[in-house]
Amino acid sequence: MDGTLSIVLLVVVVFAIVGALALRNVSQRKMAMRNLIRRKKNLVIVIGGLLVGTAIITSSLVVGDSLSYIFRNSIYQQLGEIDELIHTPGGNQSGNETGIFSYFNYSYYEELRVAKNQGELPSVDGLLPMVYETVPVMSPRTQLSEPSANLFGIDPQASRELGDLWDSSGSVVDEESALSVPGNAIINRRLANSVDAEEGDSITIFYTLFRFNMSNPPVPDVIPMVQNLNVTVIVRNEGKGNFLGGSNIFASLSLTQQMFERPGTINLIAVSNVGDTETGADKTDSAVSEIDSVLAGMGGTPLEIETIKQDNLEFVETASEMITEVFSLMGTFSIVAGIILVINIFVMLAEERKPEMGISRALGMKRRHLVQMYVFEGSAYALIAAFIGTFAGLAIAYFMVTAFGSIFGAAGFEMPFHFEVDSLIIGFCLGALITFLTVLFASWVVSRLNIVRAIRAIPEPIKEKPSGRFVAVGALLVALGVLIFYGGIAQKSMAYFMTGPCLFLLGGGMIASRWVHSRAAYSVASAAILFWILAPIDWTGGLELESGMEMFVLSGLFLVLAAILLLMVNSTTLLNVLTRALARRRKIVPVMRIALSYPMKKKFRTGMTLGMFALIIFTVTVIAMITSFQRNSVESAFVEEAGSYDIIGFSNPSTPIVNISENISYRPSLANRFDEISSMSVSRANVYAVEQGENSSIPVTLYGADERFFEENDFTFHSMMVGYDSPQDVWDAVRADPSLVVTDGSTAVDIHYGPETIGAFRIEAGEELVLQTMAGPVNKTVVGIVDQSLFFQGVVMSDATLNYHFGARLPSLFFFTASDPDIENVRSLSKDLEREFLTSGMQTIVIRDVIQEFLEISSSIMNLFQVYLGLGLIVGIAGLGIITVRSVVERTNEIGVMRAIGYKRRMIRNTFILETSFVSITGITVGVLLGVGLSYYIYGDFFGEGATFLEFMNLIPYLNILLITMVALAFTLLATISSAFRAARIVPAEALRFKE
Amino acid sequence: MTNKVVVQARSLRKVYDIGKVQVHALKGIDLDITKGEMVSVMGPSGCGKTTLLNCLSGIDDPTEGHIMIEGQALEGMSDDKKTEYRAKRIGFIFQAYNLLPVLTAVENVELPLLLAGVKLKEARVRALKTLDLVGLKKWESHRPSELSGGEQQRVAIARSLVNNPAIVFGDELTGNLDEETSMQVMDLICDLNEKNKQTFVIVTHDPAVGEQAHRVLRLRDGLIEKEYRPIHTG
Repeated sequence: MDGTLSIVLLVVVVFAIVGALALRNVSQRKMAMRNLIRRKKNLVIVIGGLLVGTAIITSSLVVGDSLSYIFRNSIYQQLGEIDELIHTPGGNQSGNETGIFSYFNYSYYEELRVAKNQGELPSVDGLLPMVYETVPVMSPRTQLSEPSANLFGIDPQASRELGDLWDSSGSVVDEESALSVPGNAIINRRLANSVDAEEGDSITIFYTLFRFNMSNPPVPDVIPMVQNLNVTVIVRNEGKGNFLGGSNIFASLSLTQQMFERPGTINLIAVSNVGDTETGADKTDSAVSEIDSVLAGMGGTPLEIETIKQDNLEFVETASEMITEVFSLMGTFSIVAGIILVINIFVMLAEERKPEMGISRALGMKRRHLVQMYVFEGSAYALIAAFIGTFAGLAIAYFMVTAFGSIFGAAGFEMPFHFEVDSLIIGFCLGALITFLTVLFASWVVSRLNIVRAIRAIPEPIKEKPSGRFVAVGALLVALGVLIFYGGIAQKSMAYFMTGPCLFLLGGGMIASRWVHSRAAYSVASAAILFWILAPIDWTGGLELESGMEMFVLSGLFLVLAAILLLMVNSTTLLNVLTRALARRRKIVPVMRIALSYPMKKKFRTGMTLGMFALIIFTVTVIAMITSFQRNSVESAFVEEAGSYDIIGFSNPSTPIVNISENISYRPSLANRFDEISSMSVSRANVYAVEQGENSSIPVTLYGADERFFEENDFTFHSMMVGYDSPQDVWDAVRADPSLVVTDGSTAVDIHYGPETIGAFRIEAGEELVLQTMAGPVNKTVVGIVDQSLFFQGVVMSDATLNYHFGARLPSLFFFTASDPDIENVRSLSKDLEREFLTSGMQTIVIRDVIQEFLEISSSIMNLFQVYLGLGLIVGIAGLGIITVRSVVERTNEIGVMRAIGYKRRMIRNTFILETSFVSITGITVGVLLGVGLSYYIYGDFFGEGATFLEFMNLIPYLNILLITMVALAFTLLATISSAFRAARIVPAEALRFKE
Repeated sequence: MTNKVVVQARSLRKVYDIGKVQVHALKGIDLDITKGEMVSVMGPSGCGKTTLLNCLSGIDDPTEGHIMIEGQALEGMSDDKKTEYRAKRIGFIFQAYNLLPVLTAVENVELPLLLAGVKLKEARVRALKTLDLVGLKKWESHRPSELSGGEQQRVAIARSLVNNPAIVFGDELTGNLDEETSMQVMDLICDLNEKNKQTFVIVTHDPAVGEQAHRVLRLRDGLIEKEYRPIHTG
């Protein structure tokens, strides 16, 4: 059954049962509904607090929707009608490092055409044979250039099957007539804008012809070529005109075959499935099997069908699901805070109504009737809050997507807001269900009352020793903890490994409280949990465990639980210390004594409220810390990512640069300006880690490094295989031994506290991976994993090894170290390189600038997350608001007494303000301390072994944390101050007479 | 007993507006209470006993009339001044004891001292001494919920006496106690009055309590109906 339908059905069933019970039990229903509207201000605050959970769930789903929509649209725009590509294996459209496809005979297309005409390809409605190359382009008129344009040699007749091209007025272009004269070309608006070309202009494209000599190993002779084309039409960046989202040139197939000296051959067949741009991909599986059966009957070059649209759609689906997961996981803290709020509210409502409940029970109402009464009321809360929360979530998601849009807007990404109705339904249902289940639990708890004590409003006696059932629960937790711990080791899960002992310790504390003082038992248990999570000790003892974002969530929950437990069981000591500390300020003492005594007496209520604050502030602090680390890690990121190079250059694969060092030495503007130049040739193949199995095989870029790279690079290593002591040992081994390779940082298995990189395979140093070469699978051992993952991602080997497996290749990736490292000089060098190697389509990156920009974007996203998570504070603030409103009512008589014995109005007001501030400040302090504590680990991940505690202290974003604290306090004051003033205004004589 | 007037009330009126209805709780009371005197105010429910006590102690304002306590007029005082005055010179004992439930017995007792600006250490010593006076020193660290009604009221008495006030007002201070405990509490009050010359104004509807005072004021419909000095046989 569809997931949405299942959850809708579940919610319908649950609330239908509640509804039916409410219809049958008239008195409980009436009492519940009247209680619901009894205190309207309370109702508003309760709904405000409860809707946060739904809002968080809905917003995470809708953000996922928007991103999925954006990604999918971008795929539809880039591929148009194209659903599959047929080419030789090894060539892969999604990897633009290579871009070159091997040529194959035109007869393959003819066979497919015949098969299609004979109805053997019912899932296919279009086939387009192409020559596809990427080339540098220049406009002789404007002297403007584009280093990497897509040149498509197409058969204009067949081209119609893959959709139309539209000119600027929106008319369909007659491709046959536009390309009828050899030397004519159609270009898209993107390219026209890059080189400022107009219809009728001539453009020059540069490309290279390879002539292989008889040397062994074969080294191609490279012959630079130039071709002028006449621009007949400029087409819109839409449909086929936007193919691959690039700057496109469409020329006749015969011309391109002639240019590249490949008569009678093509290197790509684009396939369109039956259906439109969006629905075509649904037919991919059948289309592939039909095409496969036709191709199987042909001998010669084996061809690969790349299911490009389906693959990309699956990829973006995974990506948006992952982003939804990140948001949901981050939002877990707010959801948990929301659950705590529901419990707190119900316990408080129960306290308020205790005498009524006692009387109801005395009059004959059963316990289940009380549960029903609360469930009816709670269900109404749940439904109202979920309904409003769904729209609040929509608004939050809109804010997030708009904010993402402004962050990425500069990079040219458009981020339209989009949502699926399903997401709203799921958000509503999950929110309502979570609230309902919490209400059910809370109702069950509060219905357990002693009738006499309830009627006389006598506090429940504190049990000297916990009951046997309590001890049994403790024993269960201990057993569960042991199981989870060993399960974690068996499944290599850091989350389980860390959670098990926390449960064990908690259960141990519960059991011990039977025999020793509960304060001692829980103090030891909670302190041990804090130590287990925060102590700078590697408990894994060399075990290799995998961890992800869930680790952050679980650590956070257990840290907060332990800290609050420790605080609450030692509250009396804390109170005494505070009283003594402030004893000299005599005017404060009476106010402080009352302000601190109430929260400490209502331990459950206070603990829950502290927990709400601490959870949210903990997450916000961790994010603030990570943002600070990022801002301050440019230097360490530079060392990790740059490998001591300043510039990375990519030449166009169609126009590789032979012997770049020598080439540079001939050019006056570049000569003697570099200390180091290294290069890599690039290919692409399907790769999988032996540990993960063949099914995990994905296309990966392969790099063949030259001698200079092995000798001079300073890339730092994330991990090295046992037996290798230094990076140079690793590189020397890779250079000498063709069975050894190095992979980039995104492949490392043990990435903490962050989402896994999509599309990367996972491996550890010392493990084997399999390259799927044309000659069959080849095993390689990963001898090391570099930290770097920003500029090249994939598998690094020697150029000789790459050439051996994938044929002779010329370098197209270059690393430069400037003689003068001044950033302005590096930037000018970068521009000079692009200008000098224009005809090779050289594109350069100034590494420091890219890292800086990357970190800035990353910081902006983290800031956004901070705001998103800060929304959870609404829960804490609403919780405290309700408590204060309730406290004023609850304590009216006491306020009267206090006023009578000498408390001035402002002292009463200050008592309430101090009380709420004390709770919020304590919660905030706990959250900040735990957040900073956990961040110390993350700090190690950022700065590695060179990280010192002093530097860590310097990196704490004190101002940011102070701001968070102040904002939280200010909102808390806003939510509680009116109650404090109301309390101060109470006339003592009336207060003394007051009865609820 | 000296003749110094501690509390003086003239033409005291109090009108409550309850919706559209005006309730005349006090209709013109004239009253003098001298130092060391123990006065009980008696009368049926709704006759204005508690209102009179509230007005005399400054926790409620009369609609008309004048009140002087220790020679100071209450009507001209700001709320803060009145509160300060109450903290230093007036003690209260309530029917429902009205101890602060979150504080221990000794903390409840020392609260008026802290409000008067006494140092924490000194306040603790004096509070313990006063608790001793009411026979509850060993219960100092118990919270109100851990004490019986009589014990709670004794703590409340200790709280009302701890800062040596000029006058102690008691509102139905035995109302929640059984007969035997009521008598024990009244014995304590009488003892304190006699030994310390402490002035007490006690509102009660219980003749057995009221008759123990030096002077009884009987209120009816907001006016003093009758005033007499009971003959003590004990």
